[in-house]
Amino acid sequence: MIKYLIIFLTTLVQLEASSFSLDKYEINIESNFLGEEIVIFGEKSADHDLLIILEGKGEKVRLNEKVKKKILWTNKSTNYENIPNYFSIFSLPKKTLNEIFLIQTVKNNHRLISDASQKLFKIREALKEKSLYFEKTLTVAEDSLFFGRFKIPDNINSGLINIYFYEIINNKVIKVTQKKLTIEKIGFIQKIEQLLYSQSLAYVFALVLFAILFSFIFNYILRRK
Amino acid sequence: MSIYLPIAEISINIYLLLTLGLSIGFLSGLFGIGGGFIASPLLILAGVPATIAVGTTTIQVFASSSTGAINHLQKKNVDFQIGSILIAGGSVGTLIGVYTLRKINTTGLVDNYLYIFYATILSLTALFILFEAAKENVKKRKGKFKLHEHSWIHGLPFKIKFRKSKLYISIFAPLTIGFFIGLLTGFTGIGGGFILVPCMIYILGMTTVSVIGTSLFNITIVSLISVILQVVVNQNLDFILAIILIISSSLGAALASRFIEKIKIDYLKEAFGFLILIIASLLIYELLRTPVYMQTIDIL
Repeated sequence: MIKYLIIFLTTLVQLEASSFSLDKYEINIESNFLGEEIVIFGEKSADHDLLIILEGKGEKVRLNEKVKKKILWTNKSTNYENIPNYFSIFSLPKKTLNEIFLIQTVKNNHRLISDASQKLFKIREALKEKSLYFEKTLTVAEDSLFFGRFKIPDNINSGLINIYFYEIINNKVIKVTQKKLTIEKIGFIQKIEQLLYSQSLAYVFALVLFAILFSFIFNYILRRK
Repeated sequence: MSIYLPIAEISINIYLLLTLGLSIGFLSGLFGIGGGFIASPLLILAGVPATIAVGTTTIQVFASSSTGAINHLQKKNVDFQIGSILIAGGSVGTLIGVYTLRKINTTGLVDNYLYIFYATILSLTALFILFEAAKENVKKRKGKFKLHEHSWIHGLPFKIKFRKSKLYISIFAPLTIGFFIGLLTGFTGIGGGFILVPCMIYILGMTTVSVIGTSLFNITIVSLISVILQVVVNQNLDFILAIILIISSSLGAALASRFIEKIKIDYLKEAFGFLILIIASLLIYELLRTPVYMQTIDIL
């Protein structure tokens, strides 16, 4: 079913040779947000390898490594700057990370996959644990058409995710196309977050008012009893 | 059905949260406790980030203790003299507690510290409850025992008269007790009533008439100060989670009031003790078991 949908969509957007699109470019986080599945699809030239990289905003992170001290497991923490808060790789045909390391342009553009060091491996594994990192292979739908599905998890930070579409021949990047996926908190969720960070005292006031109100209501119920 | 918590930035099953809140409220209503020392570890075990669990529990403690505090204020069961000294100590304690939480959070060890702390405090409380329940049974058979005796606490300097409680003790005693309870509130989110009440009876020698009212009055004010500090300093209070907890725990407490006359509390005390012991065991298990993931990441 999805195969025919992809073909339909691909035809609909009249794709040129080796290009891609997403079924949506904007994700809104509301109170019922449980993460969102996105379909990536497009057309590929026969002689090109494809690599699609989705990279979130670079942020300061703390990597907690579990270490055993006598009988207890505790954290050994290290802070790192400018680590993407989301990272995923789609390839066609399937490429391992070791193969991707051989593509110089990709290595230079994306710090998280710039080398095979233990440090970056641990960060990738930690992001994977939070569903914020994955490596997948695109599925060939028909002839030159491809698609892939991925999930933006519920713990994603709002902001932009850059999507890099690399066309590769013999480990050399011949063309890069870039698109953006926007993730935004909206409505009540957005207002709450804004209130907490920009007007902390108003946030406290609203909470305390709510707590007191319920105190009174249930106090009244208890008293009636 | 899940709900998105905007500050915790996770989705969590709403029925799980409602059940948790109802249970905490029910136990609060049944045993006259704030429930923070159960709420906070249970939220962490349910998957809420530790600092968010601590911050959000504080407002739940405020909501549940303020109901009781209002009742006792109306009945004039509050000793404002001792209460204000407890609050003075508690304010300093909670300030240090909130900043300690912030400091420890930056080291990435907050989960470890909180797990160890909760496991210890819950185990001790469970043992205390079970011991008290056993002692009650012996007391019933053997007769009464003396409530409190004079100790080194009564020899401390700067003594003042507390007219309502008919006490002549050093100001340092309630100030120190208030400080440590405030420290607990700021660092762990718990109200500390289960520690404060025995301290007021057995250390300060207060009469039981004003103990509960004064304890609730202190917890209400100190938790309010802690709520303000948590939001301003740590920004770890989730509005949606707080609303769900306040509503469900208030409802649980109201339900408990309808059941309280029909249930034999003596048997329940033992069951409650065992329940706390189970929660403590789960926390200890979390500390001892080999982690599923050898590395985790926090986006700062």
